[in-house]
Amino acid sequence: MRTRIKEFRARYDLTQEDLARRIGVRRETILFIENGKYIPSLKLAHDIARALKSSVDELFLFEKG
Amino acid sequence: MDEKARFRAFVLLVALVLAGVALYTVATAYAGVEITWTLVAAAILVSMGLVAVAVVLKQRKDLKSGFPKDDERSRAIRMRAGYWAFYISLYFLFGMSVVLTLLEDHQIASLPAAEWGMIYVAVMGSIFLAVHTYLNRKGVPG
Repeated sequence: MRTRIKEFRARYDLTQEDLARRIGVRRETILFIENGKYIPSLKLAHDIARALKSSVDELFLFEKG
Repeated sequence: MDEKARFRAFVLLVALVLAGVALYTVATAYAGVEITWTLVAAAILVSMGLVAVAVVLKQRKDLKSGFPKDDERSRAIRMRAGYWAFYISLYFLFGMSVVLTLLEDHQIASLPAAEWGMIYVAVMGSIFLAVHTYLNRKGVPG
């Protein structure tokens, strides 16, 4: 899984800490999701998408296979 | 229960567990149980205390910075670490039972249950800590 969270964060000038505080998770969680090392639940993915004024489809790119 | 109340409950629980083990250590020392096992109990107590203090300090710092004490990722790590600690220590217990049956006449087979309990707690705690640290650094597999 790849994500575009970093790109969207930069667009809104948000740090990982800012985003984590907005959605109520720990900073490491954002770091691991960004690096594709943790696949978030649908609810968390939705919360991140809302915080970045985007959609789950746009932020999370699942590769086939 | 809000975040701060849960944090206080956690600190209280850790304090109670540590007080229990401390009481056990002192009681065995007074009862004249062999000093080795009192030292083992003390070592387990100190390790548990150090881990608990480190966890409490980190959680306090996170709470002050506006981050939650835990979230879905940390819960997933805890669950997975607990799962591995449980299964590996079950196999450990089974293995020890087999070994003790084979060594029935050996000195080690005559250890009291309390000592085996201490070894079991130490093994289970170490596995939990190791898996937790590993997943916290490498990420939780999907």
